[in-house]
Amino acid sequence: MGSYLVSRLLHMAAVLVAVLILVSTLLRLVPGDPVDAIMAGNPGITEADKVRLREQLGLTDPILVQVRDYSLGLLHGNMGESLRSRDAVLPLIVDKLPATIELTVFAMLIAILIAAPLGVITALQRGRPGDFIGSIIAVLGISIPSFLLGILLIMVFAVQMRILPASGYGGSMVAALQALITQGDIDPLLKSLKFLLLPGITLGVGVAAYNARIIRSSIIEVVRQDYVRCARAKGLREQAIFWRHVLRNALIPVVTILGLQIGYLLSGAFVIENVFAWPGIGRFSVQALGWRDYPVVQGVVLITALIFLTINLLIDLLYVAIDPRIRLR
Amino acid sequence: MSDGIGRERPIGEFERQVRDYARAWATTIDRRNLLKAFGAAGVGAIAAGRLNLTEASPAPGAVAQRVRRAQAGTKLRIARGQLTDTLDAQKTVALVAHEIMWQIYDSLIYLDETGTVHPGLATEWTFSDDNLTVTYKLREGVNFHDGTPFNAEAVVITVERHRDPATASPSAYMLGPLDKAEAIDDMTVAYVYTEPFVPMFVGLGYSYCAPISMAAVEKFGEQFGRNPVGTGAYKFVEWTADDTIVLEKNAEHGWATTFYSVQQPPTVERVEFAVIPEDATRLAALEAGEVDIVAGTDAVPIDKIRSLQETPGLQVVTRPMVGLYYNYINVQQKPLDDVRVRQAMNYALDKTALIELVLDGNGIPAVSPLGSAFGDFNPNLNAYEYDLDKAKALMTEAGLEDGFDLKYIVIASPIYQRAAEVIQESLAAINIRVNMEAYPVADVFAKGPGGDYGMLFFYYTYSDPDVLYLVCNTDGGSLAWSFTDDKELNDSTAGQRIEFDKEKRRELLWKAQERVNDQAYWMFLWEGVYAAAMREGIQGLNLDLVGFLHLQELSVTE
Repeated sequence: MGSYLVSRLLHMAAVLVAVLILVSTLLRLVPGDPVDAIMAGNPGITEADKVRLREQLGLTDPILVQVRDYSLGLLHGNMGESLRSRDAVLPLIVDKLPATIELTVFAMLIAILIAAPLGVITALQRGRPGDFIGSIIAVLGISIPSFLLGILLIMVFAVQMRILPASGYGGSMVAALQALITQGDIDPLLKSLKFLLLPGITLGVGVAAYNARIIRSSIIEVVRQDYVRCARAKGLREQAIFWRHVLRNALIPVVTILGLQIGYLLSGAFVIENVFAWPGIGRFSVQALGWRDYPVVQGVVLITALIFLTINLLIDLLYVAIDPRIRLR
Repeated sequence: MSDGIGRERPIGEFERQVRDYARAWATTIDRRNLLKAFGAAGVGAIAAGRLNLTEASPAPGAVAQRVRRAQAGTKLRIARGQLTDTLDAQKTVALVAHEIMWQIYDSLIYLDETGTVHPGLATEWTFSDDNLTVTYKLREGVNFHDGTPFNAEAVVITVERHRDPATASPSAYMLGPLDKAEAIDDMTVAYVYTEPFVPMFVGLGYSYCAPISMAAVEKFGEQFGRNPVGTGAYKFVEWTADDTIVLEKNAEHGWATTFYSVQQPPTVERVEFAVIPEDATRLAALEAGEVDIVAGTDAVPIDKIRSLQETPGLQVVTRPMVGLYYNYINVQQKPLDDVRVRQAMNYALDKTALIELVLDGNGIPAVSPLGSAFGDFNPNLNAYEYDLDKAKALMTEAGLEDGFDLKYIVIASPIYQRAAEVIQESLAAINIRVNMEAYPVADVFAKGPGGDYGMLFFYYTYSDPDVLYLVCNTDGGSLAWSFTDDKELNDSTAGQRIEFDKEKRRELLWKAQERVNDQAYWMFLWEGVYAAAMREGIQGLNLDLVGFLHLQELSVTE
């Protein structure tokens, strides 16, 4: 286990280095540079001023030098500063990350809440009307662009019915839970939930539909296995068979997918964050990209990659816990 | 001569140049060339003389409005589309910062579109005999939001920080060839220049050059951009986790600049500037009553103006933009070097239909490289009314009835792209096959000078005809992206910069416009509007030349 962990961590480090180099160079190949973005619309600026500014911002050094300096900074936990606002990048990202994580986690929960019953029902009702209806719902969920779904939900629940807010953030969920536990005050939690509901549902629906299909086919696959037939032959009740044998085995592929879906959710959150004005790193980095704010974009990509890799590592370890057939090499 | 506010008084030549020039919002005047022109005109011709300019009375035509008593605790929530980068006046040139900094900081002076300079934190100013020093008398009894006094010392150290290389200010160029700012006494400060600086009022009228509290800079250091302290009508309170900027009324701000048409102290108690990037969400928030106003750069999509006006409970304020939307035609690229082809392109486009379709009617067709709001707009130009037959005839005459391929660079934004599609369709009717490439605005700026295109979509907002130099003069204009080789055009655009006789300047400007129109160096598109939308019950929302509102003018009646 120990050596497996070490080799995985080294692997992660290698991936992160590759990501860093790739992102830094690709960013700088995009036409337009931060100074042009800062100066856009200001004809009063002379070339000399632009050059002076570029020098001051450290943009005139060769790319490799810039990457090297950035990497050295990373080793000291310094991710540089935003070219626009001159604020340190790491604190900025750490500041906005919790909002994105809350949204992603909430979306995942919603996804599971929808996907599990939907998947199970359609699997057990295979071939019958229940399956048919469930499949339609799943396909709809997969097909609707999240962007469109978001706007539709806003139109219905915020503008027409006025029961949920159109956009914004209601305070940290974590803080709200703390308030509930320590002070018995449920208001922060309700407020936080109110704002989390629409973006969370929008983000979760696509993933839910996908998961539902996976759960369905996984269950169907497992139910056909010999050991299930054997369990029936032994006289075990259907219920017991289902919970003890079928479901646990059917969930294994789903757990794998979950890891990949975190990546999808994190990137989907970027779009949803823009639609709902959710103050996470998604909305922030979209604007930073428009400004060619290299340090910020690099920082966001690296941190997202780190999160993604860590979660997948955890999932792999989780695998071992739930599937006794798997041994770590 | 009349100085624009109806009083007769002698006015020095240099002062007049400065004030005429003050109509421009920004400039690329090459100061060396301008000074050579000064020398040619004879230094003696520049009347020396000390002039006094006392406090201007409110702009002509402004009606003093009765202030309605705002209810205690009035709060307004304003939604914009873009994030502000920083509120440190000296570290940004972004309009999204200027919108808010305008409310927090006061400038020394304010410019309006007629070229009148209004007092702000400076109540009077005088020019020295050699025009190198301007001495400002500062307004008494003003404090920064943190209680420190506003005085000459504050102005001096603001300027020092602005010019300090460590600040890396992108707006330092606005100060011009400034040698130093020096405090003459507690409430008098002198700006000493190394050369006479005609555009001096341009920079000083922006919030980027506004006095800031150095005590706050010392206290917050790098974080000053997130904790700005000025003297303005509104104080900064908080920059929340979701990037909402909260301001609160500065009860001590007892004066208003005559630049404002509503003369009152600030009435709204608390204002929140929220950012909602998605157009549909932003307007939904307005309709649902979650925000009171939608304003700011591009905050109200042009094609939604009509539906907002028709929504009960909402009102829309518009203002014609002093600016223009057009396509540069790269005359260096064959067959665009043939004037008949360029004219055909203009005849092939039905501008009225484009405006109806893309802007929902909110605009007027453009005919000149200068917007029609300018006094020096030439009304005798060819409007290139839609005439497909004529366009086809011209193409045939040029031997190009089979057409050709054209690369068209467009700014990536839904409305401009839709317009570009209409243009593409229109040109297809005369067999010009347009390949569109859409890029964000910063990239389009980067691609312009390269000339690797047949046509480039662009627009400008400006308040002085001097813009023609920028966009047409291929000797020195940084935006002259039709790459023309036209001596007459270059001469007239360069000449109007240093022509002090109004009549002669107009002649030159008319000639320049005629040249561009006649030779169809551009495809003329439209002139637009600024818009802000809000719920009923809000008064005093006036949009200025760059489409901003001024919080100090607002009041709420319900």
